[in-house]
Amino acid sequence: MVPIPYIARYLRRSLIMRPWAILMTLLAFSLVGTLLALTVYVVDLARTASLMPVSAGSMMAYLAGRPSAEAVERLKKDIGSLPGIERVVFIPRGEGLVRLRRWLGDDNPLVADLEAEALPDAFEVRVDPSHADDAQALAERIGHLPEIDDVRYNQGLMGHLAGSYRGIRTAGTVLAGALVLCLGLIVFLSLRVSLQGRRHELEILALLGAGRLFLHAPHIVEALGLCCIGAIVGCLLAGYSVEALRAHISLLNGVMGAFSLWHAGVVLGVCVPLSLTGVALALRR
Amino acid sequence: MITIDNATKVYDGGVTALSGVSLRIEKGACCLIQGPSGAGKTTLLNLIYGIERPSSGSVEVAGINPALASRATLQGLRRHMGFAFQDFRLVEGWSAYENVAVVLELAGKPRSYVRTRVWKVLEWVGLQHRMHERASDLSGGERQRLALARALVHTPEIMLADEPAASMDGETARLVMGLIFRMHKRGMTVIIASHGMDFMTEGTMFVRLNHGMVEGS
Repeated sequence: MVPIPYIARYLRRSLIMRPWAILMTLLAFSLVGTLLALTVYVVDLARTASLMPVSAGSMMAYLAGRPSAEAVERLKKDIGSLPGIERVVFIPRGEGLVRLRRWLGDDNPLVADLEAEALPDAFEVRVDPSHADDAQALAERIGHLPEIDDVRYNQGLMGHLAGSYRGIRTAGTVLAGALVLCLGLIVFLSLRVSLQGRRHELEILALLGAGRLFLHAPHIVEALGLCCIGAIVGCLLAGYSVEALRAHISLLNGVMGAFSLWHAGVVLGVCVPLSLTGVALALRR
Repeated sequence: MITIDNATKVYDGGVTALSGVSLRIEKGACCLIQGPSGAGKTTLLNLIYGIERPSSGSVEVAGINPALASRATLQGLRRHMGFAFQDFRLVEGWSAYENVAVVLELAGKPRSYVRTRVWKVLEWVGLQHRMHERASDLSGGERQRLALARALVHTPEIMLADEPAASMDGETARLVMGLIFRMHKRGMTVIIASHGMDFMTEGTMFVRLNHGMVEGS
């Protein structure tokens, strides 16, 4: 049977006797919770981005080596015949250098002494607006044509996120692992301190016939409570941060979704079992 | 029934606290164990309560050997016993009420019962007016009465009391011992260890311990 009055008394006494310790533990839980919530959000954002079609209106296809005029014409025709391509313009390397200087500035050291020969010839490919979402597939098809070295297009923020999904997922996993470890350590240490402070009391209760549940239930409830509150505070802070970004940077508004209950569920789903593991380890020692 | 068979207790330092003690305490008996300081009275009570294990011999309480019992069995056994320790073993930061109430909470008693019962038992030992005071704020005699209240509150089948009147004035000691004997008359098995026999008027069994051995019973 769960000793509810005893647990309630223990929690009330803890709040009165060591409010700062509880507050600091809660603060630590909240900080870790916030970081964990943001990590979950960013990884999910990258995952969502990787599933979304990349939209682009134009792309640049760079040629390998110096192809003949016939080869350029053939490639232009091949690219132009692809469905969804509106217009193909050949940009010889000389014109490419002029464009680059116009873009970066004539006195920019990057292009000041640059020779046109160092640049590749290219095609500027205009995509039909109705096929803008097929940019990724079109780029892949153009990239497979002979003598095409590389295809670049403006992927937008979501495109970059999608391209970095694997990296973000790996970094997120590592960061989440470190945070989860921190969380476990906080639970473990705070509980050890609490147990040490109650050693005399626990000895007496054991002498009176108290079982493990009676002795440890208050600690389990305290750790779980602090962990859940920390996770909820973390989710609220993360949600507020995401909303603030969405509200103040209009560019991100279409890209970033809201911090949802699903994200909060993942954070709680990680925090609760982990705090229980920390509790189990602390009680076992 | 409590059976102690040839129990010997030798501490790590080589000090022999009990040497070949054999006793049989019937259910409902009131056993008074008397002896000077260091005679082994506290050790004997500790063996019965399962706090210490005998170096040799055995102890059986209601058919259970506390030294060999599992943790859960020992906990169950202790819930049917009450022990007023010589050093009180109260939780200093708790109120008098909380120190007593916890025994009933361990037994899973409802809150209303706990409140009524604790108040009643604290009244028996004359502490009802100090029930909200911390144990650490009580005097030696009051702490002893509180320890006794905690040992009695759940009406245990067996009650152990180690020097229960040591820190009390004559009047209070008489009152408290009267309470213990009253509980005995209601069927409780009582074992009292004391160096003196003042106020020990109603025992059904007397044991004299000296240097860890039974000198007479």
